[in-house]
Amino acid sequence: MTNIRMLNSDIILLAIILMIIIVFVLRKELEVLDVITLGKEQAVNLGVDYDYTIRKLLLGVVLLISVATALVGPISFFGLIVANLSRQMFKTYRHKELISGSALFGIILLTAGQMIVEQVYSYAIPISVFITVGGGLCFLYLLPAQRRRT
Amino acid sequence: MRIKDLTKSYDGKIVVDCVNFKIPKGKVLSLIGPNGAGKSTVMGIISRLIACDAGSVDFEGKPIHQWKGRELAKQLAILTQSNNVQMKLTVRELVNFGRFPYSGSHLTKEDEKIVSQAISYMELTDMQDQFIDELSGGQRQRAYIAMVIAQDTEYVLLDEPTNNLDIYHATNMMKIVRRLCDELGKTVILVLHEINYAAFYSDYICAFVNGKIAKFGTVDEVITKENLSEIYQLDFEIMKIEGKPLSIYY
Repeated sequence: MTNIRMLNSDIILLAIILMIIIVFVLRKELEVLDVITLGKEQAVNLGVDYDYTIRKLLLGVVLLISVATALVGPISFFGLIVANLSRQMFKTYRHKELISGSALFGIILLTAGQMIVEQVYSYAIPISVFITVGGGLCFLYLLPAQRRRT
Repeated sequence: MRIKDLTKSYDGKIVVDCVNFKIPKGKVLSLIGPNGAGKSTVMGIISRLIACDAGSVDFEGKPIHQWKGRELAKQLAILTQSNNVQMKLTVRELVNFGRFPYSGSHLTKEDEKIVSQAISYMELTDMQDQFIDELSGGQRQRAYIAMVIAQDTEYVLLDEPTNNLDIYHATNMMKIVRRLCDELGKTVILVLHEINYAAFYSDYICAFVNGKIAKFGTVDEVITKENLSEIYQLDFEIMKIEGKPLSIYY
């Protein structure tokens, strides 16, 4: 259950250090991600070691999710919603901009959600309700929009 | 570049059977043959998309899997048919990717110049700031060729570049292939279904049947009534147009 107030503060320093390490190790792969979006054939053509890069990135993602979960518990849907909404909002293919943009967007959403939970509802409704309801509504909108485009 | 004893099987069925040939430098080589003859698989192995079971593809004496990805990408460029990108990319941004093996995403002044030259060679300067999904199929193909030109490689591999193109655009595509060889000095290897495009626009032909090379030689050596009947199991008539043997089948 997502619980931002009962943040596991003992491990916050470790979490920050781990995150900085992961981001540092993966920073070069951001521009490779742009090439990978062109498709596997083009990525291989331009000299990218496709399988190795994908594995490395997936490992980084898994580690980062683990850090977040260790801190506040599982936040189901949230990453999916933020990532997809960001792709719609930021009209760019450049992952440096996409990822920083969606990170900021996620922070804003989560902070706003937590503010509503604390101030408006006095903790009566847990944040995961808002995320799930909001996320569900977003997808109800996004899915037919996707079908319209294809 | 040399292909040595290349072998590949899928589920016990031998798709490429001990294939051996040398790629003639500075010429256009077309790989032809019936469906399932193994030509696309050979192309896939050369372009590092498929792993072979035995044999090797040697580039300047070294097998390609021993080359570093980025170094090989400066010598060898591949264009397959899956050019269906949904990214919001302008033509210029696409061609910029051609410089990735050299400068990553941060292009130098020299890179910008090469990109501009590639774009103007493909006559796309007016539309270089348009998004590629707004272009026609033929224009998009030219944009991808411009990217290959910007990649500045000696060898260019094209996998059925005329598929899905109407006669006008397919013919233009073959003329561009010829220019890549004659004007820019590149060695071009194509997989082609249309025998006549292969005969008219290539220098050498390699014909595949059942995973093996049936015939390898100059266009005049390979395109004969006897050879083609053997390869395609059909009757052919050969007519000479502008000195090149064109085949008529029905």
